[in-house]
Amino acid sequence: MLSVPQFSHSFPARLSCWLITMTSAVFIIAFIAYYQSARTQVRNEAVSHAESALETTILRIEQVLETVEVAVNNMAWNVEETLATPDSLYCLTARMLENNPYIVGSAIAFEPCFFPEKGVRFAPYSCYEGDSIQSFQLGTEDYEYHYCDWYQIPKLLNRAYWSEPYFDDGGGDIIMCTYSKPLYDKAGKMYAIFTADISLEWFTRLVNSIKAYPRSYNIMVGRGGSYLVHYLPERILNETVFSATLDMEDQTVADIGRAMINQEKGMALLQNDDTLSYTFYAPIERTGWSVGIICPQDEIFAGLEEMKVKVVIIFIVGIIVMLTCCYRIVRRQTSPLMEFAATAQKIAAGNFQTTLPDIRSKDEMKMLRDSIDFMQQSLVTYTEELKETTASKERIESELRIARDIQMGMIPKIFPPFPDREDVDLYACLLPAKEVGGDLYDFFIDNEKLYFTVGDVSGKGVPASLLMAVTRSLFRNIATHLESPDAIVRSLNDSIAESNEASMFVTLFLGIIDLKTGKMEYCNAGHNAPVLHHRGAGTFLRTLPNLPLGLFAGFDYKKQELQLEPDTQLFAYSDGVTEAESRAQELFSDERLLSIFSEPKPEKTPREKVLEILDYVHQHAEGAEQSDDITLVCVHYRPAAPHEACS
Amino acid sequence: MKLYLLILWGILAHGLLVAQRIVFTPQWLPQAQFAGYYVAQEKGFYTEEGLEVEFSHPSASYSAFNRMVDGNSHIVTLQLLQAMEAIDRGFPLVNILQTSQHNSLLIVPRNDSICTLDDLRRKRVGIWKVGFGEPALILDRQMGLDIEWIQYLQGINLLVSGAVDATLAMRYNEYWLIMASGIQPRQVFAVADYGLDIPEDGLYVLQNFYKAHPEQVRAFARASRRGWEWTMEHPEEALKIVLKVMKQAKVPVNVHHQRWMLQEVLKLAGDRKVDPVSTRQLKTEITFQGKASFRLKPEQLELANDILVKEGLIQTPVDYHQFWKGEEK
Repeated sequence: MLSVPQFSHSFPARLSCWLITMTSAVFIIAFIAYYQSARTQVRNEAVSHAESALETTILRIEQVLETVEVAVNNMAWNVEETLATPDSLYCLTARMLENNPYIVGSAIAFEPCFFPEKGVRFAPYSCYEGDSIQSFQLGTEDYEYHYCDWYQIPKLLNRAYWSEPYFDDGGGDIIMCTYSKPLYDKAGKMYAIFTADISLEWFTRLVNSIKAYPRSYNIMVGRGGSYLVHYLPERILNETVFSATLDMEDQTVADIGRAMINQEKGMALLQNDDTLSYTFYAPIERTGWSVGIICPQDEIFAGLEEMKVKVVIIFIVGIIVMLTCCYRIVRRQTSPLMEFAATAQKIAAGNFQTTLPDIRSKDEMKMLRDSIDFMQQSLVTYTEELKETTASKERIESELRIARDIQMGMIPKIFPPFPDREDVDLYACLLPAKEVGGDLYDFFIDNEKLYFTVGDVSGKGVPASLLMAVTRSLFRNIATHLESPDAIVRSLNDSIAESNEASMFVTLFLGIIDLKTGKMEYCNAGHNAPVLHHRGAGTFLRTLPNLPLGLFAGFDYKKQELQLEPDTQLFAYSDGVTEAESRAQELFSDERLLSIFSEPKPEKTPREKVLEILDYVHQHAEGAEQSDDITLVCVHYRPAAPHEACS
Repeated sequence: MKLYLLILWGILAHGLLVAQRIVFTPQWLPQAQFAGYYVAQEKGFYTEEGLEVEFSHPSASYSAFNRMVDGNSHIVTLQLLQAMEAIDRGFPLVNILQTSQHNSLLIVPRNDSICTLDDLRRKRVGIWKVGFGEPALILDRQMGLDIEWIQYLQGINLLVSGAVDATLAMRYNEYWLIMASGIQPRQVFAVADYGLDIPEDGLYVLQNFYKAHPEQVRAFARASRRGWEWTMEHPEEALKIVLKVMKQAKVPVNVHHQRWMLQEVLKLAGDRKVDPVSTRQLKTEITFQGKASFRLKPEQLELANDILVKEGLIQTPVDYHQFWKGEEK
């Protein structure tokens, strides 16, 4: 039964997942690279944008400051010329306001008792009251200007000075700033400070007009870090950039503050009220102040972050859609596979006529269908052929079984063959490697002589078995007419060679034992030398190297003779014994055969001896398939009384 | 003239008391330096003593002392040296509560080029025109430093601009402002470390007023002391009260500054020696540890007498028993 795989194990799901994973990986890498690059670009643009805004603003502030400085410097020349008439100095201060729209107040503050008639303090001052310019004496007992910053600092520093901004008590809640220029007499002694006040309102508006980003804000700090411009009014002139950092371990903000009051230009990333912000700052050199823009980092990258979120959403939705579509497409494309799998199972179960799914496409799926179809047809044909072959084989096997029975019927199989004789015993065995074999043995007693032979036809199977049958029949016919083994062998050779169209040959050992005398005449035609076993010792019988039978008609085979000792066993065999192979393809060998006879064992009957050797051969073979026919013949000569030996 | 003024003051003072009020004036605008008094008012300690106290703050041109002399205030805070000099000038004052036990005056250089007192020799050092700098002047004379003292009204711009090489600063006030302006000198000099640990802030009344209304004055001192003790126990809540008063008076509020000020003022009120001030990080964790006696000790007045007489700042030493009228425990 074919089971449908789980979703996670199904081919469409796995293919889709792999595809999506690879696509996602490529997209993510590409997006990260793009995002980093875009972030750097946006950051650089923000820096450029902020710096540009700062530069423009500072330039405009510097221009106004310069205008005031120039106005004071130009008017300073007139002061010395007016010293003779101190009261006319009021006109000078008033003219400062008239000529310069940025200046909201101006004073010429003299050193104590500079004009004895004017007392300790004399400082003609002009300022706006409403839209009109009012002039009056600034110094009073309550306003000891000689101890004010705007007077004291330029005097002590010996140079012009822009004061730190301060709340103007008289003019409302506006922040003022005073430019003070010391005036010196010809002896180089300072005699007055010429001042011009400007309102910081215009600067504040200018600085606040920088709108780098919707949530960015701007600051301006004085020399001591005081906020001059800040979006929180309570911090202006009340707190400094260092106020909140004095008891902090983290000095990032303080370091930026120090950079600002040290008139440095730069940029820094800082934690500002729980928001990570970029701070850009640049100095106003004339006053020692510094302008800064604080931009929340998330605002600078807001566009980019928005795009990132959109891309991520599109990506996630796209991946889901892609996964669904991919899974459906792959499943649709591969759906015939399941049908093919089911069909293949039916075919495997023997239903060759199963209908294959209909494939209209001309792709690999069509090829697969055609292949299965072809396989289906081939299987039908093959099965039919197989049926015929099997029937044919069964018939041949049946015939072979009959042939085997006939072949086996040709050789004597009744043992002991001579139960009524005491002087001789014999046992033989033939084990064909296939159904029929090419080995043969035969024996008979005629006229008190035991004729026996062992042969081996070249080749195996049916041809060998036929020649074996021929050889055995010839042996029976010829041996009954001839008494000499060499004559018999020559006759056999000539008969076989005469009609040996297949150029086959037969090795053969033929022996004739005169049971009365123990004399054995024998002729060997290319066969293995038999083993003589007597008194616990085994030796190979000396044999001449005659040619096998059937090769050359008329070959002159020579006989040999041997006087058998009583109680001698002659063991003849085919090469299937000595050439039996183990699993390691090691031959049984002559030496191993001979060693069996050398072992000190109790005397055994031919039957026992043959079976023992067969045991050894089988043990050696270790279950390996028998490759050649095995034939064993053992003749035990055991006359009642010893005979005189002759050779 | 003095007698006339005292009689005039007596009449005015009497008139004020008929209205069942005590007008109290600290040295300056509302800030954590006077936390104990605002706490006593807020917590009703004065009311519990049967007093109706009105806070009236001075201005740059009208000091607390002048308000008292003019009869516009009954009780003021003054520094010990100011009070002793006033007595020498013929204004008989009595001290009814000594809130400061130590001197907080610092000499703060602008940069690291001044590492020792000797480095201040012939340098320009800023000093308040209105006073408070006497111990530093005494130190200058004692050490023969020949400092060029530059008088100024207020603020730290003289130091920030570089017009002076150093300036005087109260550790609870200007010192924080200087640090908050980005100036971080390596070395700061506390005059207390040079044998001039003269206590500062205390509560003062004119002797006549004290004699006329001893119970009310003592009640005011007791309630004020409770206010300070409550402040020491609940500094954060006290700070909130100060900030509230500042906002009501429309005084610019810098929370960091006020926190620092309260912390340092409480340290100065304690009997134990005050740690050297940090020149790097100003930790503001207000806790009061130790004891506060709120008492002017005879040896503290003796030290002040010795120095002022020796320096010729007063002619006659101030008598402890006539001067100190506060509670002994």
